[in-house]
Amino acid sequence: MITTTASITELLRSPRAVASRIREGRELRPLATASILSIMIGSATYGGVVGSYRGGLQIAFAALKFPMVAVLTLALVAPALVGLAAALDRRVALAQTSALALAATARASLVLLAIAPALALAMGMSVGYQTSALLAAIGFGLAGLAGLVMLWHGIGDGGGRATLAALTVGVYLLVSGQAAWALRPWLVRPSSDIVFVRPPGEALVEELPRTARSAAGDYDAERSRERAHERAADTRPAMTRGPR
Amino acid sequence: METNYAWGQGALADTSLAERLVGKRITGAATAIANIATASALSTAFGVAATLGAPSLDKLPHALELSAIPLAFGAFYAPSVWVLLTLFNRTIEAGDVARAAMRTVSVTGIVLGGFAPAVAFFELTSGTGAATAFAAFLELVAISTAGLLALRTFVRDTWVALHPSERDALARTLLVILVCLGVVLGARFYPAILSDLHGGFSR
Repeated sequence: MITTTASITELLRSPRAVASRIREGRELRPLATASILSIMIGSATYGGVVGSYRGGLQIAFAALKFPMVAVLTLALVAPALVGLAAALDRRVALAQTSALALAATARASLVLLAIAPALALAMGMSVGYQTSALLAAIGFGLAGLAGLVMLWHGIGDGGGRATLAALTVGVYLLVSGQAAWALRPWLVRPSSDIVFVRPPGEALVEELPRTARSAAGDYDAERSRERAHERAADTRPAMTRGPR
Repeated sequence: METNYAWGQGALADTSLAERLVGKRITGAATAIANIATASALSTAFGVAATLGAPSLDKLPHALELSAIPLAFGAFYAPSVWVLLTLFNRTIEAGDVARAAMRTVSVTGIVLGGFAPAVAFFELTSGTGAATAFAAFLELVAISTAGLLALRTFVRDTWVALHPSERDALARTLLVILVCLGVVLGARFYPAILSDLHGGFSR
């Protein structure tokens, strides 16, 4: 009987052994427990650190939302992985695919847990908003690589391995990006209000190039002014609207 | 072509819907009909998911059209391939081509069905015009992926069904032409259906 702790150790040390456990359908219950625990603790910690840029209630909000993004992504990617794997002539069951996606996300979450103190230290050194966002994204990318290693071993040898891995990573990036976008804000500028989730507005596809330009130092001054006007307009109604 | 057993040798795989749909063992007409019905339902689920941004009952027929394209491919292109290969003295059983066509329908269905939850999520969380246009673009990518994987399945199954001594340049050329026709068919109809589902996407 493999314990939950042993499963966590195995997730970190031996993705190949975890992959063979999943293939054989052996000891999946402790693996699932270990994976869910790892996702909850790892991603919640990282989320809390990201939220600490603004502090206060945002720490709790981000800590709560990060695992939600991870679990939502898992739920949406697993069926796609089943379909793609079957199309590439690999025998799969949804339970195995879910276990593999869960294990890959758990491994990534454990790496997030490891990176969290470094990110917290960087944010504690009063780096700017853009740098904080960039550092958080780099941490996320590193964790993603650790998850990818798990996925790679889980897919196993044979034809179509690289195609399946590439397609899965593509779907994963798109879905997790949209999930994170739907559940924003994460860092929250000091000038903005803390809310649990922003209403749907601009699209991720519009925001990404703008963020990239801002990160490169080309901050969109016009947009900043617009935002300032919007905020001012939001605070005015109490004074100016209604019958006089 | 052999199924890759590197992933899924455990007991869990035996009950897999995916295995039942795209596996090589089609035991009779009832199984074939059940597989086609399941695959069509999965394709339709993708179509319905694509309408969730602005749901309307009027769009349901367009969602059903999504499942009609692989069926049309199977009904028209597969007999054509069998006739052409036979005409050029290649030994291939009609049943093998029919099985390949059936697997093509199944592969399209299972890939589109797999993408359906993600598509629904994108549709439900895309607020502005740019976001919905991006969601529509991703749906086109998903459909293209499904179509290409389905074509790959058909070509590989047909190739394997040919007698080894007859797998020559002519047979290869015929299959390449078939792939081109399949791509044209997909490019002709899928964006139009997506446009109907999204209301003017192609513009």
